[in-house]
Amino acid sequence: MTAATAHAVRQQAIAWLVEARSGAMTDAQRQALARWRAAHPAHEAAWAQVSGALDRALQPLEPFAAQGGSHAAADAALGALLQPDRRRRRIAGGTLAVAGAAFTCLLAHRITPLPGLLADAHTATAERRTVALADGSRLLLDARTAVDIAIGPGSRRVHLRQGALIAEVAPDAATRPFAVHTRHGEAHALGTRCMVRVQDERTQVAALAQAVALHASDGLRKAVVAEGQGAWIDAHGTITPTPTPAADLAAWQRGMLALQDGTLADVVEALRPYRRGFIRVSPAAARLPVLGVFPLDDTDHTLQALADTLPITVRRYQGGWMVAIDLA
Amino acid sequence: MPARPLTPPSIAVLYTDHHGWLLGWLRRKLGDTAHAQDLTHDTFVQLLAAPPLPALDNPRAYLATVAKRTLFAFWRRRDLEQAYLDVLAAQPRVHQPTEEERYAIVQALEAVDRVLRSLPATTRQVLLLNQLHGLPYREIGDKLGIAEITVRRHMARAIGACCALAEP
Repeated sequence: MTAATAHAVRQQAIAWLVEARSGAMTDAQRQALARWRAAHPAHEAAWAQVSGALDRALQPLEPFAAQGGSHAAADAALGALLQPDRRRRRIAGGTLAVAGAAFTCLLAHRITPLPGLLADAHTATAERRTVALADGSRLLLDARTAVDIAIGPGSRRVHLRQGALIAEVAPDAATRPFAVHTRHGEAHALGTRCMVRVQDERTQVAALAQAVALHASDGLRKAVVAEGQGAWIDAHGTITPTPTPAADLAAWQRGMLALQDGTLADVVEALRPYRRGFIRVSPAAARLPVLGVFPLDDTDHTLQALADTLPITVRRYQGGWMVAIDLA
Repeated sequence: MPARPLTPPSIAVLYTDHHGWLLGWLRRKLGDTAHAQDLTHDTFVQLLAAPPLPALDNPRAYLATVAKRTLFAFWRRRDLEQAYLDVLAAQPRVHQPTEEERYAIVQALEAVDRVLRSLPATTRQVLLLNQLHGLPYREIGDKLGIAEITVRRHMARAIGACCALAEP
């Protein structure tokens, strides 16, 4: 094949890839693309090269992609990457403007503290801690948890901003109610122990000793979770029972994750607060069913156990800072 | 037999003779000693990772050239991170990233920025709306006020740029 034909085939492959990403490809076009790829080995090779180059270039954006109703990370990444490169432009035309394109930073970027995390109490990665409240109640905070505490004359309120907690509610002479609230709703302890976990899209509540009353943030929907049971409140205020018993939802208090009917995504979600760095799991691998009990305090061990028992590959980068899990 | 030096002698000499000068130069650019120390270190790490040094008439000019590259990368990382956090902070009820997550976020943004920064703003925007927000071309065209055929031309250009960078 001459250089000119190779260039032409490459341009065709690019045109097909543009078509494939249009969001409006018809079945007829899909079949035409399959026929074009099968027509000549050079076509298939060009397709693999072009689509592979684009995938590799965009792969770091995968964790930011908009999912369901949540596009905060996608908007933020878009905003960052659309910024003009002010300083580079100022010296463009100079000797080194575009020189070191493949330039790697070998050192960690020193980061200033984040003002948004000025909570009353918080825990770091892989840290669990008990906090005593003024009324004699106690909160056990899971790793990477932040709470605001307001024990007032008429009420006892804990705002769970991030992470999970188990509240051990002390009896109160003034019979002030005890509530844990999150962005999705409120859990009122009717008894002595309950677990609350907040995630981006929903909040999980488990009634460990006696019942818990749930109020969705829209103020309309309410439900009572009986002792030993768990429930979700989502961003729309819908309350659904969890199939997992309350004791399993609170297994993190002993540093364990217990899953009876879970997926790899659930395991990774539970490991993240216990691991410095970043775990990325491909959507196909995330759907794999997982059952068992896993230690949270030794994430390397848990990742290895998963790699040994599931059809996945676990790759570590930068000394384990970045972990990528894919189908084997 | 004398112990073999860990670094090529020329870099060791550069370090001994000009480390203090480079630190001062970077401190003047940055107005901050801690960052200047980091970037001085980064600059020498760059030199160690690079091919052997050429014969240098003016070692300080060479050091300054490499240090400028380090400096631009540093400024760009900081701008990317700040812009990311600004957009995030403007949205209510969003999980704010932890320090570890921010590190990974900046690494990822920087990797993509290296590929995209040679492209015009509209081309970048078309590709990112398609990739990050999963928008079909018709919606991208509506959003940016350009024709769908123009959206396709920008996509083709962006894909071409990714291929060109992927080549050895």
